[in-house]
Amino acid sequence: MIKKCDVIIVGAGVIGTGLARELSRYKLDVVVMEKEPDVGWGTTKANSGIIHAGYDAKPGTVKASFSAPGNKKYEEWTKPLSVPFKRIGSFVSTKEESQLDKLEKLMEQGHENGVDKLEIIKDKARIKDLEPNISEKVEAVLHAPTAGVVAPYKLTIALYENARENGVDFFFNSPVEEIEVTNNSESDGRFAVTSSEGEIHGDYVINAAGISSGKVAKMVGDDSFSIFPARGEYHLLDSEIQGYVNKINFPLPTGDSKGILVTPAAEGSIIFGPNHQPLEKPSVATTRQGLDQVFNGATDLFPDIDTGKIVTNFAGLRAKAGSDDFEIGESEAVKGFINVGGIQSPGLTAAPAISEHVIGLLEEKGLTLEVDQSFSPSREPIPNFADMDMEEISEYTDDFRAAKEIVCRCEEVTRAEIEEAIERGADTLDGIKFRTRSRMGSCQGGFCTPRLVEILSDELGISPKDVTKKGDGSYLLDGETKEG
Amino acid sequence: MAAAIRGAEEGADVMLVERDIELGGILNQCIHNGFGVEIYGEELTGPEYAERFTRRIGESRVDVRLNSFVLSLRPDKTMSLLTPNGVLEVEASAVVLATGAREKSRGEIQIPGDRPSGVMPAGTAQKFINKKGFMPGKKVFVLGSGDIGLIISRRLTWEGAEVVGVAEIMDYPTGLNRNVVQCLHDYDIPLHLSHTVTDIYGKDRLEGIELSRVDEDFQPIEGSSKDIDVDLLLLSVGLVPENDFFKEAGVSLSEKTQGALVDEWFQTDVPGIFGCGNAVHIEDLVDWVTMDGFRAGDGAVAYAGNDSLPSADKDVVAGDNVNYVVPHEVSGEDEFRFALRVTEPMENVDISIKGTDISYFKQIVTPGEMEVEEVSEEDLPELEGMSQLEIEVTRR
Repeated sequence: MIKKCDVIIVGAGVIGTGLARELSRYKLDVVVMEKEPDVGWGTTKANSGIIHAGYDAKPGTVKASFSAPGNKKYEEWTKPLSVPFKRIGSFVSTKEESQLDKLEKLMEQGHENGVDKLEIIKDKARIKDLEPNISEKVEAVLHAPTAGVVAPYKLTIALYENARENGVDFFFNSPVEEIEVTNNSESDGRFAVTSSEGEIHGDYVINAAGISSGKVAKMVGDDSFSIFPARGEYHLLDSEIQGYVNKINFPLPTGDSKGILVTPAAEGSIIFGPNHQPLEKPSVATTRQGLDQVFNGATDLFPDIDTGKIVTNFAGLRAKAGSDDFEIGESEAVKGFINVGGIQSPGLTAAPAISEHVIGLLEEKGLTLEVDQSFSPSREPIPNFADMDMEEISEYTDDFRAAKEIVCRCEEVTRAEIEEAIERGADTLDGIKFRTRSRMGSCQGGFCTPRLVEILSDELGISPKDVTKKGDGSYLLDGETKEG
Repeated sequence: MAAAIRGAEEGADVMLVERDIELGGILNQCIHNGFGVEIYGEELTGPEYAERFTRRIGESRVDVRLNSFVLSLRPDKTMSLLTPNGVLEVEASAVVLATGAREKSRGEIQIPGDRPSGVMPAGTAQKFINKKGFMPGKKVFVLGSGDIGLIISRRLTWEGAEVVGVAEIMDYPTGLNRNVVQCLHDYDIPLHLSHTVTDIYGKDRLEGIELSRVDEDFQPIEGSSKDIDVDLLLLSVGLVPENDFFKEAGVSLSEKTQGALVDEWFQTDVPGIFGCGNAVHIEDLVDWVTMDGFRAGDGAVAYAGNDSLPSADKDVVAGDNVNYVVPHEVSGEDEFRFALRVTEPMENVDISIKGTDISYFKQIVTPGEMEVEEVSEEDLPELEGMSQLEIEVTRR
């Protein structure tokens, strides 16, 4: 046994990491086990980054009960952690007057779900005023001013840093292989969770394993739900086009999804997506048909958008449960085993409310919550050179040499930022990317990758050959040249 | 460096700002030869060619600032630099942007598939190999027959890697013919014309690609695809001028080249801001880049001295079979050079200025090879009174 703790969380996505951070408010020993080398690399990292207003989910579903309440808690989460979050508002647009009743129905649904400030705008001049480049053919929109955007990976990294600061232990590269229900709460804990890192014992296990949540539940004999993975594909545009789109723009929703949206991303660029493709097994490969579909959906709402500014495309996974709803609650089969599974959209929105609910559930099931007075709610971000004005730059670069070397020219990321990202736990190129935006700009890492490999190798004290893009197996260099 | 040298020779106060730790830019990683044929009549390597200029810079009064990054450039030609000594505010009478180009990424050409390591622009691989001494893979496929891709194929072969093929979406190679011969044919590396990569496999590291034939609209032909196992995919699918500073300074760009619109002195439409080399359009030979740099240097000095240059009021436009032509405006008062790319490979053609007798015969032209022609002093009277010079290419 490596250690005995109170709560073991399986999965360091926004749900697991958020829970870990909220639990770190109490005098508890909390461990998070993650199969990837970093936080947020499953379903969390590749979604639309939308904090939905909460009108989409059918009233009465678990999703609906957490959406609007989750949305309302977003400042509570993002402010102390210094994570950019902007309530830019969303539009659901229709080009047909005959579809107006569908907008009205959505608004009604929103009211039932507790969404504030919804309005239907039929005045085309006002629509154009709020979203100047939207298709002329749009006749009416449902405007939800409370909807917002956040960078989901940035949020998760911030939650992680703060949770760690407050004593939570994270084990990366540690896929859970086995969960034994020992039912021995006195000394060894009720559960023994085994990964490649060894055995960890705990009294409560929270299954926040995303795509694998069905599989993890089955490890304790709970087969109450299964995950049917789906994929959503996206195009990302150059940040240069910032300002062309102001709102989160949805078409009218169809059966399986909210449709292909066009929105500013929290970090200044614009994204198109996603489509919705059920999969046999999880894959984040993009497809030509899928990308075309996303492209066509987006240009339907914004016909004149400069699609030449597309810098990359990517796909994300959706952990859809058979019920098509969140699977949240203590397992009927096993006491102390809490499922937080099937978290697909609007999971990011719901995360703060889910977290609050699950902590209440833990208490109800016997976990003692004693407030830890030493808990610190805040976390400082890595100073962001690109956002500084000249005065701030002078001050920042005065301090140390590494601040004066711009490593990523497209997004203006300094060596100091890269080094700090590594210090804070990034040990892969993608880990650095999600923390600093290096390799996210127009050249997509063409120029800075060799320098980043050098810095990672220096800072971690490893050979450049052992530097990876995203963990084991994703090496960049596989040998030396003849002259070395 | 060429613009700086010319400026210093003419007695101007010149500051040369370079982001890297050394002068020379991408030449430093181009250790193959073939540089300098037009200017020196000999074949130098990239570093050798660069050194001829760094030496001249060293002997000159040019104020060289290495490790220095332009934070902002304003239309009034003031700028803020981040240097090793801190922030520096500079006021210039004229500015020459010789910022080069960047390679197109996977995302820009939208190859679908997995996102493993082992997919990178050819120039990035060149940097790893030639500057850092590391091999980015052993079994390689190259997408795009641009010069960098061709040259890296040979380099990888020398280093013991296996280059299993090069694919080009066009039905002709886009790099220089000499590179097709010396880098592919001489090493029996197959060139697949009218082919492209349509899928990428590998969760962590690249495991393979799908190669497909394309139709005349460049769409993959169903049933033509085959999988190829490789651990490295290099992209040599074109360069894009580094135009960020032009945009920041409010300079108008060419839709075709994405570089600045310039006149015969390489002055942009923001007075006193010049652009040259690959930042204006993608050139084939460093020699042409250098000559443009000299010319831009001359222009910048003249502008800085008098605050003006002869007004370039004759538009230069691409006519039949011409993809683009640079410069975009000329005064017609001075001899000048123009560079163009044709739209498709052709034989026995005349490159001419429509409505004049100014014409140049070519046996073979192809989009992969830039054509550069000079309009001499004697030709100038022919241009008098013309407001537009239409450059066309016609078959004999």
